[in-house]
Amino acid sequence: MDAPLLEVKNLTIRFHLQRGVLSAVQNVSFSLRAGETLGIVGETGCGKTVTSLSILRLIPCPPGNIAGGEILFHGEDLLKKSEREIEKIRGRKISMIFQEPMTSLNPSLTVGEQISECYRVHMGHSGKVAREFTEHALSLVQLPSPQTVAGRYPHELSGGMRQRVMIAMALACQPEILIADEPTTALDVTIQAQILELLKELQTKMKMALIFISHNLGVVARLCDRIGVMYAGSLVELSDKKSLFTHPLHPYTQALLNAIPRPDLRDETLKAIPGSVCNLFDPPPGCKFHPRCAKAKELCKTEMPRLEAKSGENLAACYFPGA
Amino acid sequence: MMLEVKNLTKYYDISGGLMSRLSAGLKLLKAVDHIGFSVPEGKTFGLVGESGCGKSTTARLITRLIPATEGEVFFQGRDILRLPKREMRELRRHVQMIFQDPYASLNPRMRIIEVVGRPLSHFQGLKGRKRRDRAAELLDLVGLRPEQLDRYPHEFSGGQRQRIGIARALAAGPKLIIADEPVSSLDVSVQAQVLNLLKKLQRELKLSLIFISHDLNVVGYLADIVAVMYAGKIMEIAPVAQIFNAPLNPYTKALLASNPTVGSYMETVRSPLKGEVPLPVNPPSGCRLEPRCPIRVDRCKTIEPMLEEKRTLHRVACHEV
Amino acid sequence: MSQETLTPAVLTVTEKGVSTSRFVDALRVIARNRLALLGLFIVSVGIFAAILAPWISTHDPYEINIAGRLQAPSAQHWLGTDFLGRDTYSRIVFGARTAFIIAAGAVFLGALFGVPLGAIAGFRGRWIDSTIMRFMDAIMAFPGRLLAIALVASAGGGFTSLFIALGLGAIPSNARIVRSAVLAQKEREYVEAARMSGESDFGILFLQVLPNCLSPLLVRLSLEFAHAILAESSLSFLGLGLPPPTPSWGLMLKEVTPFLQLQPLAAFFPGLTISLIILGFNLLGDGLRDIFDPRQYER
Repeated sequence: MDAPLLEVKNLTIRFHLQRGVLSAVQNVSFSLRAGETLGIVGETGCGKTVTSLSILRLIPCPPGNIAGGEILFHGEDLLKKSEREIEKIRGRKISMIFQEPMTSLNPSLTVGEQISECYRVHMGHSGKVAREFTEHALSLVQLPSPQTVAGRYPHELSGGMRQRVMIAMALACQPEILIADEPTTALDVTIQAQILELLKELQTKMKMALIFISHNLGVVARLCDRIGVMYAGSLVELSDKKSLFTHPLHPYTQALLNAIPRPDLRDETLKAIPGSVCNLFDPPPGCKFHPRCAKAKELCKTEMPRLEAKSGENLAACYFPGA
Repeated sequence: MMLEVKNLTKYYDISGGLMSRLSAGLKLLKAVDHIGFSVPEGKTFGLVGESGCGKSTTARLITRLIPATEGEVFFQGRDILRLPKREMRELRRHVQMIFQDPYASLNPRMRIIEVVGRPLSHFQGLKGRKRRDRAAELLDLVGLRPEQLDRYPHEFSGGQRQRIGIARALAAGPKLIIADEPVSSLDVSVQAQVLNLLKKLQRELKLSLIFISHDLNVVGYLADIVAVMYAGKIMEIAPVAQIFNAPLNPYTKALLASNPTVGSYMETVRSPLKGEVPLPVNPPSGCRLEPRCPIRVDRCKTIEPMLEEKRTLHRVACHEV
Repeated sequence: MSQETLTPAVLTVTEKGVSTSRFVDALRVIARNRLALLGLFIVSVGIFAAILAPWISTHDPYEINIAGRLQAPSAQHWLGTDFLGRDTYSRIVFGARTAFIIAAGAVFLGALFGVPLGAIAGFRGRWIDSTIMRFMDAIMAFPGRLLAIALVASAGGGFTSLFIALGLGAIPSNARIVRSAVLAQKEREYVEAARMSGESDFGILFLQVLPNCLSPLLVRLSLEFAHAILAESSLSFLGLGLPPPTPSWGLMLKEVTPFLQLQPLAAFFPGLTISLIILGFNLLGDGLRDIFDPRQYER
């Protein structure tokens, strides 16, 4: 597969709020190949969720405003499609799962009814066929006794089980891309491991591409092939995982990796990143990380660096990348 | 020993009303079940586990925010749980707590000078100018500016609020601080700042710290001794290096294997422990881990393993070790 | 897909901090909500009139002039006269005084008992909670107006019995609102933190928890004000409220009823006043609710 499945080009999203205009996403570009796992990491407010929501046009506009860019899926710009056309894609070709299954699942319908709906609406199956598919989907996500679970309401299930139901719903129509926005953040560590393993298995089985969004570099470490790092609305680095962890290019990535506590760092102070994230309503000129960057020079304060290849196919938005 | 916990127990009766009691019988949530550990002076004791394991309940039992069903907690030779209310208020000066949620742990209607000043009034008897000066000192100690004393909590970020919470805990002048997941809601970069702060304060003020978290990486960084809890019981206690390098209990091993670390990027995704994290409601008589344990034998179902010292300073509750 | 996941990250408060006071924020919200502004205006006019009644009225509200009765509005009598020739405008202005005093008394009484009872019930829980709330249920079981009528009828008319009758009816709803608010706040970590800081239970309840429960209570109280004014008017209209010749809007309506064919305008002005004031309080109450609702300081 040479042509990328999904191409995001120069995506810019702003929010027009009472306080002012917030630059949530600025000139973000990346591509996704079929069957690939792409991780997008960043801290609160970096724009990772907004970016992922925009792929499925789930950003409320107003107050949001997609100020520029393209999102090409099979070469067609999703941003230019009509609402009806996007509805055919949502849940069918591109699916999404979220952090809190409790808010994504309808509390007054049983789990089985909600999954069946996908089959009935998107694929036109009859009720009986949809039910059979539903049970199959529930067993695919390794839920014990699928028939019993299908009859349960969301609040009767544990967090891990609800997330599996979400995954079953998302994968019902065998989408080409699954976007997972912090799906394991609210789960216990051992359950998180189960869900990650499940996602990996299903992805391989269904030959699906996966975009995994997280604030936790450790979680994406094992799961993803390539990892993109976002900061204050911009994609600052996009590398294959081995390079990212062994030779991070962007100073923010380096700083982030150094700030993660590890048992073997016990006797040292963690290298915390000085200062804090810039004000998204009024970002500084040039590179948005420059106020906190040890390597910042004059150029960084005036011109915003572009995301370019700096080491093989690995991209970084920095004038002084590398060690 | 700064603190010695013996047989600490908290059972919740969740049987419901008369009808449910008659039909379904007694339902006992054994949130914390006869646990015991010691916190040496000036050290950090890490308590780690998943949801429902009882670590937060333990914190609240030790500070008497909730009443214990059984057990003793010895602080400087006296059993805290048996102290009369008035003496308990006095004791609060020595044992303080830092909470998890930076948004819920500060009263939105109180200015910071009140948040930090009230304990100063209660425990140190400071008033007026002296109180304000000391509050400013405390803010400075946690890396905030004294001008911020007159602000309200909603004007601060999560990391800053946690610092305020730390300042509040320090205001009483405690010897022991119990930190209940203080960095779990924070971003990595902010988390690092707060962890550094805690480490620095512990060193400078010679504090003893009980650090509760579900995040093994954080506990591994901060703690000297680590206890692993599961379904109300302690499965393993050992010095931190041993927990990470030579864990003995299968649950500890599973936790470590599931732990997402940046160093593990070359490994495959796997989940060593199947099944759900249980809530200890009417738990079975044997080992709590038995239904999920990869090395279980028949004995594990009926006989509960006790915490025993299998290596120096390394205690494990498991039959197969 | 809940908006919650979108908004907080996007609107994270940065290190610079936003140091506007909450009062200013509140005024800003009212200013944006035109209806609330209107409500505030109307209520202010009413309070203004009540306080300055002796100075802004044109005549003595008790001054009888049979010869000039039931007149239409004129230069001398801005809103005309009633069936005894008394100036309607002045009686309405003094009627504001009456209305606001009664309402204030009733609301105050309702709050004085309702708030502590609800607070203690919510904070203590278990049997104290059950006992207090059953008590409240008992009061609520009586239809409000009937309860008021019964109390006034047995105690006779007049300010005191009206205070008690109307205030009593208001106690349970205040108690309920405060109770739920306290229940919601009770489990929050700042309450635990307050305990750790050495605060006594009493201190925690009244100094920490209650101030955070004010929002729903304030909305309720403003609506109760309206309710009390309407109740007093109704009771007076039925002859069970304030005795003549007290200037009371409801009483004015009652007195003028037999003469409506002669002078319909005599009923129009008192009636309009009642409607406007009730409207004002309702709009204000809605506006208050708007201020307090979206103002989430927490996530």
